[in-house]
Amino acid sequence: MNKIVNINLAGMVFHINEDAFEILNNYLNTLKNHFKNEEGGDEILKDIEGRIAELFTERLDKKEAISLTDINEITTIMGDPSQYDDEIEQEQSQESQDKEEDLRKGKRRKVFRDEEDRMIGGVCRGMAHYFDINVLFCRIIFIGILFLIGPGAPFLYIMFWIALPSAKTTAEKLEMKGERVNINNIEKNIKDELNIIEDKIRDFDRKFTKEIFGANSFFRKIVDFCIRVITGIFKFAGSCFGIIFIFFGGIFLFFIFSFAFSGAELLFQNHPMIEYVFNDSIFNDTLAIGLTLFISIPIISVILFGLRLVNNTKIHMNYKIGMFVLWIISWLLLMISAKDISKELQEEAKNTIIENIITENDTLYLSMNNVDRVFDNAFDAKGFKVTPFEDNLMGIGMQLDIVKSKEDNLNIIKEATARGKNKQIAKEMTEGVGFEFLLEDDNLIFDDFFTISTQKWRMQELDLTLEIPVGMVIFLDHSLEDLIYDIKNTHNMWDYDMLGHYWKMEKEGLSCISCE
Amino acid sequence: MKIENTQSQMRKGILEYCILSILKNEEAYPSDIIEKLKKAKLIVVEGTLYPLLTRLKNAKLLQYRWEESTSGPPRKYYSITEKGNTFLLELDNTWKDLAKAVKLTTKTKKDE
Repeated sequence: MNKIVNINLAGMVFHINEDAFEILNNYLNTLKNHFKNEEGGDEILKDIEGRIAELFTERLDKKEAISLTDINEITTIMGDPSQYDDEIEQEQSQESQDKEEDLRKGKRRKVFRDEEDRMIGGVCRGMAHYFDINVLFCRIIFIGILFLIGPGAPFLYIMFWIALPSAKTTAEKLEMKGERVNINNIEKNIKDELNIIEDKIRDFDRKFTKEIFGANSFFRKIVDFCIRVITGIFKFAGSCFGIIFIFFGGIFLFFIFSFAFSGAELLFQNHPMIEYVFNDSIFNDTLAIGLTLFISIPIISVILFGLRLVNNTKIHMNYKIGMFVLWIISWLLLMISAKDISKELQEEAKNTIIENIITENDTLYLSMNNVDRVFDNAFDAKGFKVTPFEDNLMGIGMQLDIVKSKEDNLNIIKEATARGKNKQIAKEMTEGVGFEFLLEDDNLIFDDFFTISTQKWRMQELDLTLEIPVGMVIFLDHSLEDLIYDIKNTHNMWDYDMLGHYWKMEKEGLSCISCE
Repeated sequence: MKIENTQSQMRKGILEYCILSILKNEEAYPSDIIEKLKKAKLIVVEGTLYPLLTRLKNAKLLQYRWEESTSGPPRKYYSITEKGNTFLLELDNTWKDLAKAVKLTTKTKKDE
């Protein structure tokens, strides 16, 4: 059983099977699309409809309704619009170049690769068409970029190659050289799209609201109006977003490619810490390429999405998959790099130096040699800040604890930890950590920094402990504020409150002898 | 170079010439014209003809009148205009020249 639809074709009423109607409707829409930019397009369409009506009449002598077979036969007789292209469009180009120019004006320009006239993939040629510049100029710019970004250049090219469709059909070739994209075009495009959407909604209306509310009810008009306003807003917002996407995406991309391989590398190398952190096995092409792909593919996607919103440039599914695969590859590259980096830090080592301090005084004044240091380009890790200093590195952030000495000696214990690719290297790294203090009469003055004499920064840390024999008195100067940490005392006083007082080491621990 | 391109390039100018020639002596409606062109294997699909007729009409080389039909919608009967006749005459000459030229060149090849 089949549902029958009634249609009006060239002023005549026909019964037609529903499935056949779908095909016919599609076919006529294709034709409508094909002739929409052509002068007299409506008339051509009407003529064709008339002819189809005639063919219907011939077939309806013996039966009641048009079937799918009839439609298929008739569309075969009438032919596909692409077949007209063969026979007509070339005729136009022969008639005169002006005609083609006219046709071009009707088509708004889209980016394609020009495979007919290409060096590699036609990317530069396509760009030249789009931006209306000489292809030689475009290629020179590209080669310039190639020198700038070095190993990434082929990837940049391949990305464009994947992302841009090639102009295959005559229509696409015309679009490639079509009217320049400007604000007027975009506005026109929005209006066009709006019309298409309105058509669709009207169809929807006809099918549903008419049945429910009647053809011209007040409610239906309201629905119609609302839908129109909403779609209008959406389309407009879409185009605005599209422009924004393209604009900012373009800027981002420009920066990434002009800096990722040249600028960023320079920038990084100018950063004073870089040479202490990276070595060749880490900062290599794998990381650079991975990072560029990883960042630029989403940006390119955003640009393409913007183009789609503004210009309805559609990207073939294969290219989308290609981009996605490239992005996955960039993940892999980054993971490989991350593994390299983590390897550099996989082993930890500790080095403890105990330094005996000999003094005849039984009262010591502890203070720190505070210098206002600029830690602008410091690396910050686990509370330690490290920055280049003279030919080495220096760090701050070490902490001092004061405990009771077990052997009645005055000792300072320096406990350094560091990481490295293996135990050996980690150990070497700890041995490079140095810390100085000065004993002048009864003044014990600590430096406010430690040095790292190895040429690499591998998370060196330093902990200080001062061991005091029982009976010794120390005075904690206010300059120690940032150095002391969690010093146990018999009063359970906070570190900050301990400053500015005399403390005596008793058997039970430090106790204040100047506090009230 | 594709053979189809060359073939359709050869066909394209001739198609207009033939349509004008068909309409030179008598008016006709599209189905008649299609019939003749199909027989001559100049066109494959009917859809090709309608844009052409409209274009020729817009160039004022053809005109049409409506006629009621017993079997279907009203038909457009096309006929040639004054301007179309002049145009056709020129095409006639061009065609003769071309035919001569082709004959001459292909013959020479055979003789060699």
